[in-house]
Amino acid sequence: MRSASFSQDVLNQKIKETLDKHVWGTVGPESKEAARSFAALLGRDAALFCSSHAGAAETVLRALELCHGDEVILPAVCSPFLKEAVEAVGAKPVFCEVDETLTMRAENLAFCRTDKTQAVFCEQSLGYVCNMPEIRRFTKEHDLPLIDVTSSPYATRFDDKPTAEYADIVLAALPVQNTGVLVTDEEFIGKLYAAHHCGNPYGHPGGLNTGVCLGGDMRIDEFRPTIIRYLITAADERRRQSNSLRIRISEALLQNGAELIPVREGADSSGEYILCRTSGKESCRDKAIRIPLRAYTEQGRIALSNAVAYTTL
Amino acid sequence: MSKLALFGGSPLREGPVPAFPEFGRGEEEALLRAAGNFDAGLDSERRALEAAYCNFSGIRHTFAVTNGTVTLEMILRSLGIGRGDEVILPSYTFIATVSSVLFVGATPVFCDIEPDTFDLSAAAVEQKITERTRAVIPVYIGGRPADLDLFVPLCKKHGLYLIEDAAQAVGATWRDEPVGSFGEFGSVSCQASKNLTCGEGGLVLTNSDKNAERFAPYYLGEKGTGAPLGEMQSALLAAQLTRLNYQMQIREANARLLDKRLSELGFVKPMKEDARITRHGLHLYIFRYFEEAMDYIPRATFIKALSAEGYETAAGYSRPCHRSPILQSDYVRRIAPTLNLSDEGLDETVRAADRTGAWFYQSLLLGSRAETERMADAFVKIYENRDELRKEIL
Repeated sequence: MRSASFSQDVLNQKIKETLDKHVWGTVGPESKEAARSFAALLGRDAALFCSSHAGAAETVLRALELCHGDEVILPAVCSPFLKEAVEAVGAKPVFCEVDETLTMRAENLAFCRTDKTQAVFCEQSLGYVCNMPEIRRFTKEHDLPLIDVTSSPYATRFDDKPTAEYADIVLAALPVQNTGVLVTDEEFIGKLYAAHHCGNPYGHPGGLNTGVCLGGDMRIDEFRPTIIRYLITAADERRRQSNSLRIRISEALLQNGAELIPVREGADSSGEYILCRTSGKESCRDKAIRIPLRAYTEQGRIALSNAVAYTTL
Repeated sequence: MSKLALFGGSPLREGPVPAFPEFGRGEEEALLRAAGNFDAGLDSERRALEAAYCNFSGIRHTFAVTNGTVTLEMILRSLGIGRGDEVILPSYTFIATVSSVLFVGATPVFCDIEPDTFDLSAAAVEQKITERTRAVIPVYIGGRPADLDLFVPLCKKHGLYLIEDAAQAVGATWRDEPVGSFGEFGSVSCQASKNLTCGEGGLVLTNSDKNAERFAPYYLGEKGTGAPLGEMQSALLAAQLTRLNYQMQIREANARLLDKRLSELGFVKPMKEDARITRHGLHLYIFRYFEEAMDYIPRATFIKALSAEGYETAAGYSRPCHRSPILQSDYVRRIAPTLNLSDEGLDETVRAADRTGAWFYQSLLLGSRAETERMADAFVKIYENRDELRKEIL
């Protein structure tokens, strides 16, 4: 969704300026500046842009040095790329039950943890918000890194704080040509940077086989950060616009007899989607898009039948 | 005899290095056309690019993806290569070739290179094949295809996958056939320094319909962690592709001139000529330096002097992959416990890394003929000033 003040002409001018710099990639000035702005937006130290959502997930797992023999807890309703990333590094995904908001049920985490568990991913599924304080308490207690996956990192909030503040690393999937961004603090940025930039230490421009950690190339071109920098300037406006749209569509759904699944107490949804129980009427289909929902179990991928999501975008 | 630029003399280069990447209205229009839909999830620009590359090269299938490391990782996954498998590859390459093998859980097995081409040695590869070997990855260093007359039958004989690492060899041909068409797959990098670039990107090439079919789920993000190239990068790359032919012609003409001039000198040698290479990728102009023919002036000092003359030169992969600290970590040991990092059997790799290897980047080859003549003159100038240069060592 573009904000009301979005101007394609202004954006085009910025893209032309980036083109003219002759630096089109490999952690260039636009990537660095956009990373600074994005981290500041979430009140964190550093950010890294990755070539894709899946690439960002793999970068996190490489930075945590996970491989065969390790386990990672994921919500049973999660973006497919998370499961693929865990399996790509050779680790085993362990699926944690979700509640009616389709986000991780914090009280079930204890059943999922073993001595092989190395990390927990939670996801603000469809813009609904996890019970972040409880999940955080669990990961702290067991000294596990917590990765918050969201597509609206500045809009999903709990107790009036971005959910990002509860996590060690935030993985945001941005709607700018599949871009992934990782946001974190000093403790993790060195490893993340190395995992993303051919093993080179943080801030190092890169050399030929001079790196210190195992890392791939998950870097990004310079044009997408140019767009992201522009979009960041309207983040608050976009959030207000999204909230207002959510309220209007929710009212319309209620008037038509739909049974809405409420946002968790204390949480503030990004408004990306509105979840309804299928027992309610679905007469608003012409105004909203029904999307397929999938969940993971030990046996594989299954379709969910007890909920319907309507996008507000 | 003019004074060396290293000691305050005038550099031989006149004017700046040709700006790279070159671009104009075509690139601008393509980029802005795609930027209008940055959030729309379209794929028309990418499909147009893939068709354009097939048309350019004669390859049956091209897949445009996010970069030239992910390409290799996705290729290996699509071939089912993983834990317990061995993949033979050179150590004289960029670390990405090696890390992609580790990323799928397989073990890289380092193999020596040919002394006069720096390409993977087929004879040495045959010595390294075990029952666990699944694939061989020759790296087309600097854009020069490896000896495919040897690698194709070798892989066939032993039932191994041939994966062509053509990261630096976009547009190259062997006996008039495009790189990427000889093995199961070819992998091209479109990273910022490469001859065909959109900032970050990669191309996966194959002539096999069967391989294209098994690669598709990885490319579309249904399996693994790869992703297709974005629309803006695709549009930009397609526009850049229209420049590749004439740029290759300029590089080739200048490289031939350099070959001829450097062959006349005793202390440097260009890479061996091979008529079977019908088109060289020329991402790098690689040559060998022999300090014993230059009064034992070390390579590093010579490179410093040449760079000062305005011709930025690098000592190649002075740290080959098997010596990279990256591979000594506990994490890598967990992934590949049998990984061998010794120098043994890598004599030519070590010689190239420690003493002889040197190169220019491709943009220096985009200058005029007169500028290329001056580039060769710089070698002569340094040779004539070798007594003065020795002071640098002392």
